[in-house]
Amino acid sequence: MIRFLVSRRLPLFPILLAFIGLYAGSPSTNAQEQRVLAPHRPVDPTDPPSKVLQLPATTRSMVGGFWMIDAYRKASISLKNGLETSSIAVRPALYLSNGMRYELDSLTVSPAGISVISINDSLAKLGIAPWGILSGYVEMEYSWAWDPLCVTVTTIDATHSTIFTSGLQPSAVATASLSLEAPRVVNGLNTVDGVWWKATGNVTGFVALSNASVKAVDAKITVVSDSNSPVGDVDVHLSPHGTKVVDLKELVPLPKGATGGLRIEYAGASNAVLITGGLEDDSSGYSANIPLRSFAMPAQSQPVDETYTELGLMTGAADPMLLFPVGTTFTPYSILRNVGDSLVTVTPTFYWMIDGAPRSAHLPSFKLASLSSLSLDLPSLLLSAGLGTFQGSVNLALKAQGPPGSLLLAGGSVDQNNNYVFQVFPRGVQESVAKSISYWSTGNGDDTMVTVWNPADEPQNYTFTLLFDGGHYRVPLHLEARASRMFNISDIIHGQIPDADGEVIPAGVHEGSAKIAGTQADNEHILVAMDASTYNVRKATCSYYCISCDGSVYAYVDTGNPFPFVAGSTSQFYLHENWNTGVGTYTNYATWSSSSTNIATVNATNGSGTGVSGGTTTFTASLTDAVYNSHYCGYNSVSCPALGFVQGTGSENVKPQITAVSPNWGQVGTSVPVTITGKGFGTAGTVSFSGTGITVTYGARNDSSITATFTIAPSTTVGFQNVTVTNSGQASGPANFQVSPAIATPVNFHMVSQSNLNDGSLFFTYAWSSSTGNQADLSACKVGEQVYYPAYPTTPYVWPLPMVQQTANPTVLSYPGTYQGGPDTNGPPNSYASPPYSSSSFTATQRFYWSCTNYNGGATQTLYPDIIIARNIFKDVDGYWKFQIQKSGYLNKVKLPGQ
Amino acid sequence: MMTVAKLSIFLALTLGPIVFYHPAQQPQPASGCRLLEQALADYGQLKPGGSRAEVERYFSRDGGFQTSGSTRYVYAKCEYLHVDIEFEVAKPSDVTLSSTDKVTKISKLYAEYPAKD
Repeated sequence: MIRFLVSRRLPLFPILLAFIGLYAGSPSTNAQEQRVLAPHRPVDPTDPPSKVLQLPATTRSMVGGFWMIDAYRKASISLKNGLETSSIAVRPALYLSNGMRYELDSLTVSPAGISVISINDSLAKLGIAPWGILSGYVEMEYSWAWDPLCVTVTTIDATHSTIFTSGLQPSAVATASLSLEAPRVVNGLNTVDGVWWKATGNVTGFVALSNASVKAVDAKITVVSDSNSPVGDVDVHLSPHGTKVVDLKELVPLPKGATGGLRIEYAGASNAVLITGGLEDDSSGYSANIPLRSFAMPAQSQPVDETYTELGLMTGAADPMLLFPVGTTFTPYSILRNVGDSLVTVTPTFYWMIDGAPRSAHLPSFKLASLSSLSLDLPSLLLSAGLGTFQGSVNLALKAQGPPGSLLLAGGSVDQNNNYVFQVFPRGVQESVAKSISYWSTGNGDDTMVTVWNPADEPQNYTFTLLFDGGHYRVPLHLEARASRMFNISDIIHGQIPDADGEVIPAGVHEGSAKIAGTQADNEHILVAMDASTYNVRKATCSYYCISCDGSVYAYVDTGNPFPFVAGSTSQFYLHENWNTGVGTYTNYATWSSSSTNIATVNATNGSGTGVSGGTTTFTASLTDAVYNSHYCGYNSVSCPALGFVQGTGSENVKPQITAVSPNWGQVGTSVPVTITGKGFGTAGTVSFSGTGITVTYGARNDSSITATFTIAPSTTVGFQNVTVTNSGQASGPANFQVSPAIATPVNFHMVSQSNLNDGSLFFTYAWSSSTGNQADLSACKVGEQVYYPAYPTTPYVWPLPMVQQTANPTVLSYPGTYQGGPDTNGPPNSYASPPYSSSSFTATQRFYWSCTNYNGGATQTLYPDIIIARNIFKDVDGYWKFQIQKSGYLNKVKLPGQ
Repeated sequence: MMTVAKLSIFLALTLGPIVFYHPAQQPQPASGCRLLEQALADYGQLKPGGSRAEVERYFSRDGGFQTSGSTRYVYAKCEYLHVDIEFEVAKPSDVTLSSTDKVTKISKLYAEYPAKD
């Protein structure tokens, strides 16, 4: 059974104890502190691509990405295909503010590829003047089983140096099978909270509301002060698919440094309204996105500890490598709002690097009342941490203790003219697998700055991979405990240093995406915080793009190995996880259970199943792992990843098992008492045959045996029929039952013994008896074998090299029926070609037969169902080339000479 | 029953040295002929009444399906040379081959591909 994962967000517990205490200096060696360890979880192996379960695609879409254009503003859509195993066809559409929908040209995004669509150019192509004042939102349609895209829309005004970015989220209509992030409901209304701040006295703000539904929606925007006192409110009526941009005029008279909150409320469908907000000062070129908390966090009876980081906050003179104008200095800022219902205690900690060594300073905690806002005085805090004259970047970690998801954050750095604004995306710190940057650019004056921080108290190794059209480039990253690294992607490109695979990035490459992962595999668990922003010194703009985390999309339990799963035997089961990238992994290290232990049991910790009785049970396996969340692109502080419960189930059929049918033959026209022994028959197991003519009268039946009388009609065809036992709808594997004529014939041909010979042969002994019980009655009969090789009837068969052997095809041998049996040697070739060896294989079919001159003109009759003999030459795990032969479940192998 | 092919090979093996013998040159026999000479000599050691153990001093059991009452052997130095031997088995109910089984009948030496199954 396939089950989509439910993204049940876990609190950011793993980092819980990382920041207890107050200390400055080296982050190591504090006996009072509990160390934060890097994950050391074994890496789950990867499924071969052919074994990755493919779910049926459905038409789905993502919506959002508020855009606005005019004579100055240009908007573009950036797409990243999160699938690494498949391209995806996308049908983009624009909704204008009046609700009109315009479909753009379809496009196909290559595996792990990116694509950028100019909204201005697209509208011009549709005959809509792109210099008009237009706004709206974006819809991306595609056919896939989940939402594999990461899409952001950027609106840039190079003249006024303002830039706004908005992400897309899964459409509520198309993703009913997923648990969408929904706003919390307060007083019966969907409620989204935000935070604003005035970096300059001229900062104004706006909130853009888009109605993604087909019904009109009424919404209300309320602006509040830092202490949650009402400042003003606006009622907004949204037509279907319409967009309205509401200016926050209430902010105009407020002074520089003021902060406060926003609340947007609307009735109706929870995901109907898409909300984006921005702050801007055209006179200075200041712009920033308004953070919004548009989803509800799970209720917790006890306060939890969560930690968020704001990476790469710049302080002091700009790094010369960033090429800002001489004299540019940056000041970091951090705005907090408690959007929860209870008090939150916040503990800030700075982390920075000096001479390649990590340093840290814990700062005093403070409390933030419900719905109140605060602008941290970071310059003063830096001064108190001894960083008053520090020039460079620091990482700010904020531990919040209170109801989960209470803290809404905005952070960044701004220059002394409020022109260059590096807004950073506060991110939760939690164990993850690979994380991706959806877009980077080094073209047209752009560059992308990446900051990576190791939050653990032990070193970690990562692989940072730049993905671009036509290739990839891997950068190994070693970060000591609590150390961070900041680098520009242009420096990597300009370096032209071959990576471990010998790859370099062609000089003509100016855009792509990137991924950070462990060194072993993308699904290796790591602890890392990463941020990236693409800035342009000339335009004085800085934009963020989506940082997403790989995660499981769905999981299932397989059908076990060996298959089929039979009563009285064990099979190993695995939980398979399919990731958003299209890759599959499997593990048996999960918590296992069986719905019907009378059918099968399963080891609770390793997935080893034992069949009990015929029937069907459901195995369930669950573990905590990264769960894919396609909301990562929205400007919501969604913890990335969302660790959650990955749970898969499998409907497991347990087959009854026949170990013997005695006797295993009967003459036509007779009734034969038969006992079938085995396991899993239940108390009402039924016997059936592959042919006609045999009826069954049941005697005693229990789970391990069935006694019955087989009545064989005179017209029953002589030969073999398969006997099966069915219990609760599950049929056993077949056993043989021989129907013999009403004269003396060889019957009950069976294997007596088996052994392996040193020369690599399989050695069997077989025996048969007479249907009359007297072997002498078989004087008119012969027993023999026919062995058919490939390409029959071409003879002789020349065995494939390096096996040197020829055999008659078929090989036919026969003996008087009065004999009772004999050995059968299935051997290796007489010799081998000289090394070097290579792989080869073939199979032969062995058919034992009987013939009696007094039956059917002496024609050959099947004495035993065909047996396959398989031979092959292969290189064994010990490195030696070997001959191997397999027959009837037995195997022998021998090392080839000359090695 | 010996097939036509087997019979032809048998005749070639037995008559070949005579047909190709040239009294004027007295050539040394080819190595294949020397092997056949030795095979014939060893074959000549097989006698009815002898034991299976004695047969197996010169000949090896062929692969494939065999019986204790009738067993195919290949010449130990050339698996293409066969002889079929019937035995009076020591234990008629035993499906394994006993070294004390007594030879009752010996076929002609003949050439055939070995059985490997």
